[in-house]
Amino acid sequence: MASVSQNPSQNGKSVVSGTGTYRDGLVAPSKDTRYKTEDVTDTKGREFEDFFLKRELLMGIFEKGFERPSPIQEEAIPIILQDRNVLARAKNGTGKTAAYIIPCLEKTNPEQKTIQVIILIPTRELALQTSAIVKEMGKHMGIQCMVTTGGTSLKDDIMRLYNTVHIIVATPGRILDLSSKKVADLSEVKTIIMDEADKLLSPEFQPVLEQIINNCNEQHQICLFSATFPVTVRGFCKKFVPNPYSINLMDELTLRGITQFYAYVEERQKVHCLNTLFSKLEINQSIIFCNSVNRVELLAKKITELGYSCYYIHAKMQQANRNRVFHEFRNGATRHLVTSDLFTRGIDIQSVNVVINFDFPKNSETYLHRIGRSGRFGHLGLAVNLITYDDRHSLRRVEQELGTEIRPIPPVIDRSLYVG
Amino acid sequence: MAQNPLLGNRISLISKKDIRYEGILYSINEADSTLALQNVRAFGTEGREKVDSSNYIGPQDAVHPYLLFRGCDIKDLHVHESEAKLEKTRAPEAAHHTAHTNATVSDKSNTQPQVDSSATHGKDDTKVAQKTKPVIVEQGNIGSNKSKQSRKSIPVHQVGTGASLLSRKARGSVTVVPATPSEEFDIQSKLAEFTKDVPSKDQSDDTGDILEPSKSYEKDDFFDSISCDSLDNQHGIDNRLRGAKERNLNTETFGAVALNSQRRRRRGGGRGGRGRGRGGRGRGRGRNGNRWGLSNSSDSRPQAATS
Repeated sequence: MASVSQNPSQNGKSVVSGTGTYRDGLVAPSKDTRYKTEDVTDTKGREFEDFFLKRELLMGIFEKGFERPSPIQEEAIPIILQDRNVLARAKNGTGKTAAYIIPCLEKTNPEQKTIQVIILIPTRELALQTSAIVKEMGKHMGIQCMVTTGGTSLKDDIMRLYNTVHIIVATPGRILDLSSKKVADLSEVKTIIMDEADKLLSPEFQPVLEQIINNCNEQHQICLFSATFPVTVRGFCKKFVPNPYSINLMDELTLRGITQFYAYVEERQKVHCLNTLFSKLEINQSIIFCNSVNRVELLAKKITELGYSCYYIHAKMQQANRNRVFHEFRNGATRHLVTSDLFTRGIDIQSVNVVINFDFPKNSETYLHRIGRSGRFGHLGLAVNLITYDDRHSLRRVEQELGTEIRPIPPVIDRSLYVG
Repeated sequence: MAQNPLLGNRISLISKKDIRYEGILYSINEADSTLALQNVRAFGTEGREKVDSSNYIGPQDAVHPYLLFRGCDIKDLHVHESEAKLEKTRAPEAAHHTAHTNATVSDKSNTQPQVDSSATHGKDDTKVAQKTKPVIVEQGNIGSNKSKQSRKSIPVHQVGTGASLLSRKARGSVTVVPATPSEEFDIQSKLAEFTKDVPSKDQSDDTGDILEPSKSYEKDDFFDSISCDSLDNQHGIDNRLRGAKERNLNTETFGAVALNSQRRRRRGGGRGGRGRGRGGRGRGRGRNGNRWGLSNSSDSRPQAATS
């Protein structure tokens, strides 16, 4: 992704030729030479070519800059291609999204003018991000992908569905709406993907999910992906995901590439401490989490007053504004993004190297997903937690439950820990 | 990966010495973390040196054809949006503000002939912008039709930028808001006051809830029982920060309870021909009714289909 200090191939753009393969004529993306941890490199050594994928799909994968399958991709792609139900658990940012997108694209028949795959996503921004990858990877395949979420015009979606759509990426409420209005015909959907599955299966979504599944083809496969699978979703899995192939690549929960620190502060010292962190850390881009919408706005204002530019985002903003902030932060338009838990899951911005918990999260699941916004795809990153006296038990609980260590912030932070 | 879409955009960049440079982004080199700007002007410290005014550096007239910056020398960086990009991503209700991105700044640098005709207004722009926010001028609000002419001198920041919050008053703010001290926060000596590993049995000094760690995660089980929202819900724990608890906490952290909500907020034109901006016509019409009164006839409720 383009960003403040990344270097897409503006100089070294090279068109591949003379290999005698599908790559001839494609523009080779620039290589990401940053160090990667074993979270993404510890593979069996397969190549994308080993999966007998369509030539047009391999072209898209190559152009996205994917060199080799990550561990979760190696495991999940062949199983999904066999039409099996899958429960897949892998760490944040280790390639889960492509692990389901690649087989979904492969299975989709562009000649058949019906919706064949639905990809369910818990948040709107994440749905946009995912559909963009589907479109990029499938661009040589003639596959039509549509994204539909709340907060946008229903009319536009209905118009869009008059034309052919093969793959739908959606948040649950909207797709159920379209499907019960008989605008979206899901009867030929044979592959259902649930990303951030445990979030999708939170109590408020679960009945919606069940209805969507019932509107799909009876002969469907269903694949669940997440880094966290709480026991509370076991029941749903038993009922709706019979005889699954389980993939669990998490020997431990936290990413190897992320170093976690805490600073101890009084509540009223938080802004002061943050200001000091800004001047001390080498932040490429940072995501700063607060525990409420009001606090997001209050903090974003303070940061601006301190002379740093930032964006902020939360669920009470209009969707168009949310989209713009997401888009522009991703393009590196500002260094800092202040957010609520809206951005806790799945958001993939490669150049984020620092996550700051301005407010410590209330449980381990939220903590794990938040700090996973840095250290994407095995890269290095830093998580800094501002801890007050009231947070001391939560801090200890997170450490114990995640089996990880959050250390006091040292006087000098070794830049090799997080500046790739 | 395509070419970085930011290349060719106008960038404002603040160095560690608080000097602002503005120029066209020419290249970004990740390998040695440098960034090159074209046609660069230095605007000096512009008041950012407030800690020690002896560090003041004034603006320079010279335009440098090409300057290279090291990443570690850059304190802050802001991209002025290009118009084409704005068109694409702009919210419907914001479409009025079609921005001439660098209007305010460019008035000084004279690189944008399109605002020359309003040079005096432009001066005002600069002043207002510097008063509200010395560092980044996002965009001037130079409209193309009459209704906007009246308030073209007030810069409008897009919702979602920190700068857009500067015009929103803090609610419930305490009278004496301690300013953020300019000296460094002494992280190390504060850390010394805290020991993380208080044994959990020692409940005598613990007033808060003791949170029992669950047996967390074993790979073989696939499912985990780390604390999470759905388990918390089952146990009747509401993690949302709200009500009096939030108000107290926010006052402690920020010296205020919240920022006034957008719908009651004066958007730009308060001082203009629109009374004192307290007309409040849009009040209570949900948060979509911002820019009260200014209906764009074609589609006055762009968000009708929120689900």
